Amino acid sequence: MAFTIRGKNFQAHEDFHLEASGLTVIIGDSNEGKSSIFRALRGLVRNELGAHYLKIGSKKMEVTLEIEGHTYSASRTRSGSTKYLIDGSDKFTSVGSNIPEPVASLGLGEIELGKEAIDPVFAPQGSGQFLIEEKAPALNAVLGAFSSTERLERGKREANSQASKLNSEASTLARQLQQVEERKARLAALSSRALDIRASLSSLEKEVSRQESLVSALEDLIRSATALDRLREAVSRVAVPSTTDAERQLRTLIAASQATAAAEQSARLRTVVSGLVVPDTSALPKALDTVIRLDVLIPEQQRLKLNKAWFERVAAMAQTWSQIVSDYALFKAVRGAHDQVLALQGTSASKIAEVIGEKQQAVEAALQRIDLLLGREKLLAQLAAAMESALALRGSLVEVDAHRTTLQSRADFLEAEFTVQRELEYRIAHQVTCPGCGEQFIPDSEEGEHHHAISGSAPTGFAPGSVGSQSHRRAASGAPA
Amino acid sequence: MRQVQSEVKVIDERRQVLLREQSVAEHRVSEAIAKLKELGVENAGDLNVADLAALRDKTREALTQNLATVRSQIAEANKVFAEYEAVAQS
Repeated sequence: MAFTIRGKNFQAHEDFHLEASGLTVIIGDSNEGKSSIFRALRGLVRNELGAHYLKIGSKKMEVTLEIEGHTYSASRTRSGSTKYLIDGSDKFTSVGSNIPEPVASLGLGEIELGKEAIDPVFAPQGSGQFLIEEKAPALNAVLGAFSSTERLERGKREANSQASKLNSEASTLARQLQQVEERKARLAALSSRALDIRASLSSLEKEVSRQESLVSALEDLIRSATALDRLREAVSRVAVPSTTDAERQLRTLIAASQATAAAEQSARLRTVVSGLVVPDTSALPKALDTVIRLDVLIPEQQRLKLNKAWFERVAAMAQTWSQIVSDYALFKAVRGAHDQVLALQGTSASKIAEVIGEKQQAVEAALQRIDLLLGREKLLAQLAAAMESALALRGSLVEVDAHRTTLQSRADFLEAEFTVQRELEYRIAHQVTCPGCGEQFIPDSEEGEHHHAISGSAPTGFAPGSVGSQSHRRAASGAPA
Repeated sequence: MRQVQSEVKVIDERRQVLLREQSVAEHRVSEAIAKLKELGVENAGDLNVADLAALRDKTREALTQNLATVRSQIAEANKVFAEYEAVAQS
């Protein structure tokens, strides 16, 4: 194995450079620095560059090994620690007392055999050949290590058997694993297909739902549109005739009939009124006053002068009436006596008969007088009737006056009716119907300001092409007349 | 005159009934057009009955095809289930 080692400020060497390959022998006098090179190499590969190796008077030593295409460089100062630079990398500048792994991988370290450690690379100065002068414990450890190869072979065979068995199991497991993988692959494929089917069904479901709704809505629209067309056609064919003109004509007819009837009634009323003689009651108040005065003056001389005989008869009647009253009192007395007679019990029959006879005579006389009085009573009744007739006459005169007042008010009312009827007759005779708007109006009047009718107006409409119709059209359109 | 007026009134009432029915039909048409707009047919109001019927038939055909596709997908899904059962039991 060829290598090159260089160093600076290492022990006595300020700067050394050695290239070695194969068997290399360093010879020289004592204290020339032969072992120093040895120590420098060992110090580098085993991180044993102590501060005592630093050349006196120098501050920093450095050792560099070039081997197998790599460069391993170690340096340190007196107070610091060893810093490695491997192939230019300062990754191992702080390794402490450890050997950097790239350096350890050179395999130039000690070998530990159990409790013993041997150094097949660097022998102490003055020592013999490797393992020849090794101490017994170390030699035994080496030999024991070599003697363990039989166990190693046995172990190797056992290991091979185990390995074979494990390989068989591994093959079985591999086959099972392959089957599982295949099953997994099939399941994955099935899962993928299922997912695809699910996605497809989901989208199809939405589309199917939409299409079903669309078909239903279209059928609804077709039905509704067809029904609507039929209804519109039916409505357009159903024409409600207008009765406005007929009603207007009927109203006109009715108005004309009413006017005719009113005119006839007014004519009859005129006849009645003209034939109604309102009694001249101008003299009635005076006559009534005269009667009242007469009534007041009955007991007086003027009354007597007017009907002295009548007064005498009344006086006679009054006198007779007094007599009647007294006779009646007598009659009551006789009756009372008669009752007394009846009430007399135990009275002798002759006495009773005597009394009865006397009383009978009185009663007969009274009865005669009563007969006379009855005739007088008739006279009084006649007098009362005459008085009542006078009073009735007075009441009749009052009624006649009231009747006169009523007739006068009735005549006023009829006059007003006549006036209304005359106006209605005039309106019916002169109103015209506008063919444009159907409104009825009287030309040459206030309501005729916006309507123009030809003279000798017809009851309905204007003659076609007439000025009136043209004026109406101009008025309707807002154009100047 | 009264008879004529009563007859005219009957005709007018019947016409009013027709108008009410027409209003109801127009409302239904409006609702159907609004529903079709929600479903993506924007010009439903501009189509006549024949066009609507053609659209309906076309949609029905597409629906039938989609249903057939759904059935095939369902059959495919059943196959997948059967294969899964076979794999699960193996």
